Amino acid sequence: MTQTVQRPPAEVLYADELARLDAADTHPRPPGWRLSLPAVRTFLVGDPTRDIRPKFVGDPALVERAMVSLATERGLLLVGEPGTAKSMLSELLAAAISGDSSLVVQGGAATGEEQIKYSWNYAMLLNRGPTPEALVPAPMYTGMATGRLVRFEEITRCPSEVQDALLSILSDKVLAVPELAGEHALLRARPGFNVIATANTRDRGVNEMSAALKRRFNFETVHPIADFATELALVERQSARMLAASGVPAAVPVDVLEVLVRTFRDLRGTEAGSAMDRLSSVMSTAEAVSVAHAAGLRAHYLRDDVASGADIVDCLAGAAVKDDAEDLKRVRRYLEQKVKGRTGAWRAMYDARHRLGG
Amino acid sequence: MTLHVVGVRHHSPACAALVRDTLRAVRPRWVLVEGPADFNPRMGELLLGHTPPVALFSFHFADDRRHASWAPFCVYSPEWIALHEGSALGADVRFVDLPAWDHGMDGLENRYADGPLADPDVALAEALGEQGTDAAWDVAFELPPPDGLQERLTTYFRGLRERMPASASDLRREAYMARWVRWALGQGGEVVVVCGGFHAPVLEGLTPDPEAGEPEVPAPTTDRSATWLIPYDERRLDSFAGYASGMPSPAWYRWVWTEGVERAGPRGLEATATGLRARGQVVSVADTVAAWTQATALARVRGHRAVARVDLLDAVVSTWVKEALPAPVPWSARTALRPGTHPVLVELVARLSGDLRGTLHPDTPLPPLVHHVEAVRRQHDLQAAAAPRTLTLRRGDPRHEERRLALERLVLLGVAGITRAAREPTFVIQDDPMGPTSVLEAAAYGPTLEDAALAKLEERAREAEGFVALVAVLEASVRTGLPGLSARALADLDAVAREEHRLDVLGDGLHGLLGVVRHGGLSDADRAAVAVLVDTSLDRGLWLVEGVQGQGPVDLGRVAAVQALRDAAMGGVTVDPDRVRGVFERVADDPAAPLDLRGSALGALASLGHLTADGGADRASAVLAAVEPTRLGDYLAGLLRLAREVLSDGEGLLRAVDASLAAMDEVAFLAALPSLRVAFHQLPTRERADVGRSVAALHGRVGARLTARLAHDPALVARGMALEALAEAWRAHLGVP
Repeated sequence: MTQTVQRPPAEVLYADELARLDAADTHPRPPGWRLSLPAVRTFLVGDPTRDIRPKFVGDPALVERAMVSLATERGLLLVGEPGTAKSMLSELLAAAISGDSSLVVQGGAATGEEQIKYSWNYAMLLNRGPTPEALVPAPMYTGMATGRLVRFEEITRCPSEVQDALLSILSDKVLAVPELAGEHALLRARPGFNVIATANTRDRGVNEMSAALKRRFNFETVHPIADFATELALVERQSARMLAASGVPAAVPVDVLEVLVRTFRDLRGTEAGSAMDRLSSVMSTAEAVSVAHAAGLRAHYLRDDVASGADIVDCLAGAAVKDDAEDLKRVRRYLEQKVKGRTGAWRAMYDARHRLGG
Repeated sequence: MTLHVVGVRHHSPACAALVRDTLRAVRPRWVLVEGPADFNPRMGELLLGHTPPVALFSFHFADDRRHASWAPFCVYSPEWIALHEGSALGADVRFVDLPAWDHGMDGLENRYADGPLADPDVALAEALGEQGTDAAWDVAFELPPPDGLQERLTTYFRGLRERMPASASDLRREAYMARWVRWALGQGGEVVVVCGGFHAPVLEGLTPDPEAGEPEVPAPTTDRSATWLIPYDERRLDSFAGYASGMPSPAWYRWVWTEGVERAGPRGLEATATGLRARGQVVSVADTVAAWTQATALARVRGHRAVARVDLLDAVVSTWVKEALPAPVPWSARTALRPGTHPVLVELVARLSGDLRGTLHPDTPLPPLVHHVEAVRRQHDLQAAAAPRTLTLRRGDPRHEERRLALERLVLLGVAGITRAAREPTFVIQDDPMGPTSVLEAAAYGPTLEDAALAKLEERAREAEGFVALVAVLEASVRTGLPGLSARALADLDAVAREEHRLDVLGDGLHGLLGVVRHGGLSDADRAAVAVLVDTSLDRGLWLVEGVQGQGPVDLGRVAAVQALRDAAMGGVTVDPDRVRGVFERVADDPAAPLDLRGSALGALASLGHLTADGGADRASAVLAAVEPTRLGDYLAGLLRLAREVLSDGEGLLRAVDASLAAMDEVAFLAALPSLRVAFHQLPTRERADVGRSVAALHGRVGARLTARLAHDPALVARGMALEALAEAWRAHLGVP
């Protein structure tokens, strides 16, 4: 794979860092792991003295707990609000631990067992009957056979009975293939296999996990970024990069970004004492970045200008608040009651409140 | 003649062991301990054989300055070890720090508080890759074997001192401690100093001063000042309790001290599992195994010699909590537990906090409050007898004011045998076997009834959860005639008001606040502080009121909230009147808002003078014309609660209501009746009669009799009512909603 793809996976993007960590790694590695736990931690949290970029902006203790969970019997379930970088964390962990983040099951209403375990090449099946050659492995099968981490995205979106297919895989590390006989009837996982699942709290109750499956996972909550300055810096960095990639020369001015990030934090309820209700829409850092990106695009291509508070309002309505009429009302209430009377970029935002629509 | 300075972190088992070993090795003539020097003449009281935790409670209540502080000791406090080991070795043991009433101690509630730690410690934590400074301390000093601990501590504390500026009060205290050290060195013999690590680098290398006399103890500026020994408990030591306390998880460190660092982990896990099971939560053997595996693995990854406190905390959360947590765990930033914390977390923190309560030796002198309470009760004739005595003392009656205040304060302090009937100025006094003990316990709060009640009030403010509970504390402060809530209590109130999401609760609290303002008896500063709270609540309430949507039965709670908001807006608040008006205008016109709320918003506009009674009647009539007739009463209930004059000052609204009623058939009328009753109950009886007369006049029946006589025998009616009451009691008993 070369770097010309739209979005290279983490193990390709950071191949150099992984190789250097591997070469310098003196700590013991758990069976089947490509790196030791301290090296994985360094890979995620970063180490400027060794030119390892920080990739996960969050609590390092969370990374430690996650790694340890993966090295023990239980699977790891990352839970949290949408857009808190759960999938990114799971990708980075898989890339560092297994050198491969591509074994992914995407959970959804239509996900079936065959997308998790294995399916068949029907032509061959009809022709020769069930043979190992006719079996088409799905990510769980491959992960167990090769001793690698398997990522299960949005697990709670799968029907419960499909989720429960994981029970014996997680507890006994065994996958039965009843169609085959002899040694192929039972696949025993090789060391290094485990499951990183993600679930977002907004989907809770859609398909509640069974207590039996819950017991086989350690839950780790990924929280939104606690600190304003860190979040602002992240939004600033990422939106500038995205705007540059879209051919927009000017980044969004920092005072406008401040207003944007502050608004998101207020509406998310992160800010202590913000006296606000949480929106039901996702007000994640990732959404803030995408609003900043959209505002920058809009301002550049429509007016040949830099983004202002008014652009934020426009993009808030479309990008962040989506279709929720209740949320639109809350944002309007926010503008009417809280933003009114503030100065600077806030002012432009308030003046553009009629553009919220709805 | 040598000086040995042992810089310690208060409540550190490792430092306690170091102090013990140093004393046994040196066998000094002098042991100088950071502690209130005024207590030196009574040092024997500390050595009577108490069961820690105990604390020295110091107070200083002068007119210009009130200060109360604690110096808590647990069984592994380095200071406690120094006192006991020192005297056992025959050394002369002295406290050498300033008394609690000195200006150098201002703002310090806990003499032995370790933190919140400063930036250099944060840097240490980051360098060690640990979450938080407490975790970093454990890794650097509690977990490793004790060899070379003294050197490591010295290096660390010297570094800390270089990087962190000392405050004026630090310097003042150090200057005082230095005088003691130089004096003791001048007396000859080995000297061991046990003090907070931050001060240690300054005291090292001091030289003898043979000329000096024994340093004198600064005298208090008032006689209402003293230090007493009181029982303490582990819960109060714990910083997770959200109090200016010394340390996180006292029970953990007790296990480290008594059983060794390797045993603390299993003990903590066992205690948590047992505690959760006692609460009916399922903790399986597999769960405990998983938690312990996780904890040991985390310890290994983090390079800990044994399972550290954070390893266990992290492991239990990882393996036992099966849902998303609403906020980061409290040990990552040394914050107090928030309301709504996951039960596993609550139990975990509580078990590691411990529930050990200290006891004092029976020979310990009684604190002054015991004598004072006795005197007050004698003076105001409040003694208990076997038969209950009932006293009715109205607030504000100057003849009984002092007596009433004394009773209120005794009630506040939880003195057994004295109770106040709810919302009535009636008190009942009766003999109670727990009476004397309860006064002794209350003695921890202060020397006199007034001082103790004030401290108790502040504690209640700290512990109160939720807006209404906090406002109740404020009301209690007015009732007991004790103004002067702490800045922290007010900040708490402010914070909960900002986060309250139930409009009715917010309204309730705001109503209480307005009552406090009206009742008076507040100092200027407090009145200003309460005014800020009213502002905050109004701000929050305006935000909430605009978010209430949907139709449902009449909710008088939210109507009362609008009323409270309106009352608040009428006073001198800083919230922009245009915003208040804008909110009420939008709510009044919002078709998606509940009708009772819309009615009350219109009522608020009318009573704030934004509408004339006629204008209000017109708008109300317009709304009523559009609502479903059976919901008529919903709207009116809100409107009449806030602005009765809209109905009584003209005929417009009355006609509209009358027309709607006339258009109803019997079924619709019966459906509308309950909410109409609620609506007209908002009017005083006389006005209700006036409305009745006006309605009669509308129909051309001027002077008609509005009341009818029941045709039944009153005895029959009484029996019916008794039966109804019985049925009601049964209903309540059976829990039928």
